[in-house]
Amino acid sequence: MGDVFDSSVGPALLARIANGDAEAETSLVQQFGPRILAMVLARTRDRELARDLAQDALIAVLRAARAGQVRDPERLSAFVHGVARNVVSNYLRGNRRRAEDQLVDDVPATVSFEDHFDDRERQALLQQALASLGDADRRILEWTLVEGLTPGDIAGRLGVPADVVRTRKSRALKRVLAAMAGLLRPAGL
Amino acid sequence: MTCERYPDPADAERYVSGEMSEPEQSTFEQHFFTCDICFDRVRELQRVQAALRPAGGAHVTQRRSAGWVAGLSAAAVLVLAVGAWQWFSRTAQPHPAAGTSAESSPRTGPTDASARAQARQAALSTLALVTPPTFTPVTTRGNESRARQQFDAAMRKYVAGQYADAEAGLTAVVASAPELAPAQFYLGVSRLLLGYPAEARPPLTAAASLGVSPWSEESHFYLAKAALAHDDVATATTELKAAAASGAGPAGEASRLLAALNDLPH
Repeated sequence: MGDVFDSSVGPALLARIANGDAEAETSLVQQFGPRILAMVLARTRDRELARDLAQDALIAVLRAARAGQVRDPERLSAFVHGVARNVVSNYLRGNRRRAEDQLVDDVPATVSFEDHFDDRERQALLQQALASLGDADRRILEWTLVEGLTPGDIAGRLGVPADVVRTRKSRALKRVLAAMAGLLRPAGL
Repeated sequence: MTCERYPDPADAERYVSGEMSEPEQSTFEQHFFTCDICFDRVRELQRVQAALRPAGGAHVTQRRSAGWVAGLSAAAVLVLAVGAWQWFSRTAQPHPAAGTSAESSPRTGPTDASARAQARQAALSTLALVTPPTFTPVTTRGNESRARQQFDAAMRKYVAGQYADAEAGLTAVVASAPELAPAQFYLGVSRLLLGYPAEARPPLTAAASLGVSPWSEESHFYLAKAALAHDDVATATTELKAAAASGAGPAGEASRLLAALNDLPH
């Protein structure tokens, strides 16, 4: 899909945005907003900060698109990614966010990230699936996904080979994700 | 549906876990900016990540406690697990001098009971952890049975730490040669290492009942581990006593585990 998006959809979208098409802006935000959020969250591990930085990145992208400043329209996704990465890098280097001097009105009303986290039914399924894991597996997931420890770090904690940690992490995630998809099977091999 | 460029879901896991290098991370991000399959994987994993974040102080305390054990050996972890239980016991009681055991104190409230239960659970989980027993291949003349050849192939995977592959191979071996005690034993151990204690019990029980030394004796130690994984302290104690009596398990470990279990509340 990437090639198709960048070679056909992207340039057309940018042309429409440059002509003041609000719907095109909405499409761009719907395509990239959640992805930028996922990327910033992965790099910062802070949900609230990620929302703010993702918003900053989207504003920068939209301003560039409106001004026709995207140099290579056929590589729109790379441009958006580059902007988002710069926003995160600037923040991590200690620069303050510059959202204060940007107008919130610049952002289409469709800039919303609620789908990323707030599906309550999905959350309930997820909690059930996590509760069904053994304590050790759950801790491996916590150490991996929340504390950012590598399988090697966890292997050192548990006194088992790193491959065991990787296998248990992957199997636990598989079970949880299957449960979220409503496909939970009885425990077994 | 499968992504052609990143067909392995483990790539998304590595990304969300922060295990990728910066160039690898950037490449994957640029990809999922237009790939719905990979983006959905990332988003699902980040939901799991969000759900795992501690909501209350008690969970944070538990995580900090876990942080102390970084880099320690399995034996030191065992000592710390018991120590953590004892520390929780002391801090859970408003008047430590009033009684000698937490469970006998009439002043112990619901919060104390919850903290003790949490500490007990943490200690049991740590005691249930399994360190892979070693396997030394035996050189033979080459006219082995098919089952033995399959066993050797599976154990090469085991020695390489590829326990899922070892488990699959050993499952095939015991299906055709259930009398092969080491196959039953290492099948049980592999399942324990993969996090399937319930499924580890049948082959370990079979290995114990075959009466072939040392697999029969060693199986008791790992049956104890399987029981601990299910908080079945009574069975674990029985199996550990059998293991300790025959000197099974890593040196002195069965006796140390028994002592640790004795320090848990009844």
